[in-house]
Amino acid sequence: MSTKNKIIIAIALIAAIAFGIYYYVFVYSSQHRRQVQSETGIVITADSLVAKYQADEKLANSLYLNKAVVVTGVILSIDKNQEGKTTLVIGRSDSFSNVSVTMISTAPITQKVGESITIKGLCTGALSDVVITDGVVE
Amino acid sequence: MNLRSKLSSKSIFIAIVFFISLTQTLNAQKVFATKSGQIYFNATGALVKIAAVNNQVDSKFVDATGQIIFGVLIKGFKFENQLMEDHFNENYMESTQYPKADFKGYITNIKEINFSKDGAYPIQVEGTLTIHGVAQKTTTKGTLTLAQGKPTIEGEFNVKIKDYGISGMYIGDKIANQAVIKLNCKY
Repeated sequence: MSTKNKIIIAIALIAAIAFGIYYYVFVYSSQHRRQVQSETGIVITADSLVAKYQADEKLANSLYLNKAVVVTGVILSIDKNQEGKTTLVIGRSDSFSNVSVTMISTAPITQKVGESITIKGLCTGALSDVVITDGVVE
Repeated sequence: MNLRSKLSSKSIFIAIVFFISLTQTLNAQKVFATKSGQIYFNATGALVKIAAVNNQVDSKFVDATGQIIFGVLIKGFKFENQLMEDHFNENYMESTQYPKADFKGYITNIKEINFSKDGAYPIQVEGTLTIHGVAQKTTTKGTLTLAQGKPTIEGEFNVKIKDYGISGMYIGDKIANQAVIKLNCKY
């Protein structure tokens, strides 16, 4: 193989690798987001999740942070956030802390305040409530 | 009535007045809260847009004292690009180790706000901002807008990324040295 051909092949390879990296970083990663709904969720009640965070936040984070969770509880309030997405607080009305959920979409839910609901979403940790994002009704 | 019973009556009267005024003070004080405030983060460097939004800011403030807190979970920041989000969490913010950032402080000119009159009021905020486990004293300005008695706080400030012990090979190049933080909380 001539030197000229070797240079052409090397340039073609470098260009292909560069394109591959560019495609993965800027195109594929923009179009393919994490699909929490397709992951196996940790099944837990809202009360238990809150109790675990209140007992030991560090331990609870090691168990639930950045993980898909399937949380069941009574709806205490239904609202919209500043982006128009549906938000819920689920848990117990006499509890100091509950589970605050932001749904993945702006679509309203059929359940009403006082009814039980099961939500699958991503646990992002705890502030005054345990926080779930990307929620969908199970 | 002897001196002792006069003193006793006076003490009871003072105690009642004190209790009533305390009750009124407590009633007058109002705590505004939200769990769905917005915070934008922009650290766009030389070429690539590096920006994210978090719609789950937990914030409270007290109108009487100006005491204010904001809390945000790092995993709740959403980027357009999943890979950037992963790098932001794993390589820069180390959000498994430091899952939250918060600000605790005071609106120092809270007395200038008339909570019974709608309008936009400039505010000055002083306090401690903790990011990546590092606490720094900070001051910033913003606006508190009252519409039908409901407050919205908006503010914008810069954060020097390295001041908070955040390091990474692209800071100062693809990632700006200073991140612009925009806050919009409807209470």
